[in-house]
Amino acid sequence: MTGFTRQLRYITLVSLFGFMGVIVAAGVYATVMRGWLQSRTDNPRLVEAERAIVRGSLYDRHDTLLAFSQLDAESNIATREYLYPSSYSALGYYSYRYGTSLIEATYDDLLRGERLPNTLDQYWLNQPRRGEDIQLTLDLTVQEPLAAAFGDHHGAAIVMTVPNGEVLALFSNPTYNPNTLDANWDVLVADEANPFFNRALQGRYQPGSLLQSALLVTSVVNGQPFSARFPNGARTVIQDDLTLACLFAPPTIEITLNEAFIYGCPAPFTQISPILGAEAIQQSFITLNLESVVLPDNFAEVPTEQALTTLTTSNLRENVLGQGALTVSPLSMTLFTAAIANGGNAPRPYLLAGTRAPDAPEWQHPTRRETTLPYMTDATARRLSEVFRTALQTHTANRAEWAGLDAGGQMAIAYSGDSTQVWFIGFAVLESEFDVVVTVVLEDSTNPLQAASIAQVALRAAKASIESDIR
Amino acid sequence: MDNPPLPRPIILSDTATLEGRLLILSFLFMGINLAALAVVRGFRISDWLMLLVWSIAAGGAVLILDRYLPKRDPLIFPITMFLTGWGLVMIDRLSDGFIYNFADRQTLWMVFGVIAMLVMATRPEPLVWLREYRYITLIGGLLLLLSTILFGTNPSGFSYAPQLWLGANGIYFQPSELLKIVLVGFLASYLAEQYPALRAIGIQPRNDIVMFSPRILGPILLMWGLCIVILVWQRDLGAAAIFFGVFILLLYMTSGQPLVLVSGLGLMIIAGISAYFVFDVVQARVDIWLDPWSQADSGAFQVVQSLIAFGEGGVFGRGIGQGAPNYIPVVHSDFVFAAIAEEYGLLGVIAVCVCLAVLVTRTLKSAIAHSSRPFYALMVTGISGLIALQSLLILGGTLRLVPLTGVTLPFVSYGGSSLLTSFIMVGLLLRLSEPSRP
Repeated sequence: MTGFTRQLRYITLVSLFGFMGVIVAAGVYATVMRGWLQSRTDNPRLVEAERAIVRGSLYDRHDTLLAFSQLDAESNIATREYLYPSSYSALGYYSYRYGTSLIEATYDDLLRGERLPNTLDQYWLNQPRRGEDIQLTLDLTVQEPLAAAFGDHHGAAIVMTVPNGEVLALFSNPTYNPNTLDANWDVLVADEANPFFNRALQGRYQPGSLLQSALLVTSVVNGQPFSARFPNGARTVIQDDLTLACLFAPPTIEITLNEAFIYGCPAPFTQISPILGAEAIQQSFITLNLESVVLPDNFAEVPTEQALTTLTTSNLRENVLGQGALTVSPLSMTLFTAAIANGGNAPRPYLLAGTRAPDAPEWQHPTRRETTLPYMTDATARRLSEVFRTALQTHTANRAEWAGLDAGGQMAIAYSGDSTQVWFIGFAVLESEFDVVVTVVLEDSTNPLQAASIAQVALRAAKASIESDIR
Repeated sequence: MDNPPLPRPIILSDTATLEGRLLILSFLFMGINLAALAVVRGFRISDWLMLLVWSIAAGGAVLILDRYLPKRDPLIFPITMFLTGWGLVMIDRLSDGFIYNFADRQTLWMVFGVIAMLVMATRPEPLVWLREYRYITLIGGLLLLLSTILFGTNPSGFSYAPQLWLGANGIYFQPSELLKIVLVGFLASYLAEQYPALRAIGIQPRNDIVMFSPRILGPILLMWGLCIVILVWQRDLGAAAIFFGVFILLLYMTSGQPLVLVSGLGLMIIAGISAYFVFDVVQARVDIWLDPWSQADSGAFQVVQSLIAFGEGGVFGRGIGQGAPNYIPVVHSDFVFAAIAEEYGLLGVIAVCVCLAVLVTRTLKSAIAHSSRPFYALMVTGISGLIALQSLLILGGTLRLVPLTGVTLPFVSYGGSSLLTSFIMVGLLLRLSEPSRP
């Protein structure tokens, strides 16, 4: 080799090694480190991809559009719009910044289209993913009048069909407008009324005299007759600094256990509870899932799990009065009522009626496990059902608003610190294979008829909706 | 009546035929990419005008080159035009969201570049001037550098950015780009003249201590000093590294002493360490190179986003117009390689590297052919070294193999001065690739 040949060959070799090194390094980043690089939180492409996802729309059971997403072609950002204020508290929110909640969170993978295979335009053109539409069991024709009847009251309500467990309405107040969530987040978080707290699913309230129905079940199970008489049954009961009286004045001082329930008198239940015994009552409350967390489907909004209240002879009185440590949720009381209306078995509640891939013509209905939760025997349920009917007729017979409804129910009041809340649980028998149950709880109210009135509106709307479906 | 004479058919040489075929492939590549881009962002007439201009420039250049240099290397020009065309497509794609389309300007610079390339390739004078008037051209180049130090500006308008440009009102030129050619010409001429002496004395063993003769050591220190001046005054780490690297390369070639490379590397490291403690800009770049992840949201944002782009692209890329390389600041200039990685994947990376490697290899091959003519061999090696070193610096910087130097990727990155200079270098390489020339 002469002249520069040797040096030029070395230089060529070094250059080639240099370019080879670049390829190897790029290969490492493109393959070995790819996942790590892509998933880094400082990868703005994640944000872009997330914001471009066109989430599926939400429909009610009659295919009324409740929420939808729209992609702005200019910015490549999809925005979510919620159409009905009455359904805000049920649907929850989707926010790029703050995540998802409630139904948006529960069905997030469906709404984001994660179950769907990539379409050609998504694969070749990296077009934004489109999620599946979801048909909910919610019924806007029930939700709307329920929300209107609630007005500004704080509280919660659930309407559900039996025996299948479709949640027709799910309402919590106060709530928030998910369309303006990002702008109002700080105000909402600071709001003492806690609008993010879904009272229907997460709320736990003192049951107060609502526990009387559970004690009736315990009495039946333990062979205590409803006809047992209590000479001074209408008297008031003093518990700590509370003076608890009958919800409605009974015609006589001496009343039966049946009448004590109908008029909401606490004394007979305090008298019968030591006879039943703490252990029996505890077992009954467990069977009735009063403190259990039972959610529709695999609902994302999990309420705080709490330990079961242990009933002892020392705390039995306050707890059977519903003023102890034992608290219940609107959903658990809905299932209890559903068991009464459904021969002793409560259906598993659900919200997902169907899914539909983008551009697919038909809804796909998921196959459901037809399992129920056993609460009580059929005979016990029928007895409770009759008592509920009598109670409702006794107090609302002259109220025209209940006319035309074959219904039963229980009203109750509970004291919680300085505030009170009123309850209504009940059912309506429809001219169809389905019946409807309802739970209403109103905070800061002393008038159980208010709760009953709201429940009546919901039951009537549900009856109209279901019966029109059948027609 | 006599029939009018038929027009003489254009008979292309084998070289031109091969070039033509390769350029047609490049044309198809650009066309397909622009069509894919149209699917993503809609039809734009300017895209296709750009392709038309590129085609005319490529076709016209082949015809002219074939007339003057029929035995030139058949790969150099097609590779150059392929990389330039790919760069135009990328710059066009990356201009989305900007007030004006960088690709329009780059297309104009390409036209100027091709004209300059043709002048360099077809005329003997430039090489003669570089050889015969080396001191005049060097002084001219240094004056340009001095004027940059005195009157330099930055097109971005930011005072903290390196002031490496001359110009105003939207028309800027980076003298250091032209200085590269002047410097290579000077060094090739000077070292070719010193070649016999350098080869004869080389390394002098004296008192059992191996050391350079002043004839070698002198120019090394002089050049090193010049590069330090560039670094100090202009904070242009890239240019300083390229100048010194190419100089060491040529000195190594001339002297044939590997120790030159070692000592050159040692001086670069010393300069680098000193600069780390003296200059904030160097310190910042080295810190980012060593640990970009801890500064991913601040100083290292550009590098980290570049690496993420490589990850996003994977092996096959996301497709033209479908990635998000615009998250990388100044992506169309310094980080166009990362944009290619994101949208063409590892395959695109390999394609770019192979093209550059072939270009460098082919030109070095023609240097071997000039082995008996030191000036031409050194000239080709110098230019080839410039292209290779500049490419490796920016490719390595983009991939965090070396600290970021902010130089452009030859032919691909946006930058008029860089493209024009690159084409001038290609013109010289084309002329020197023909064995019978210059």
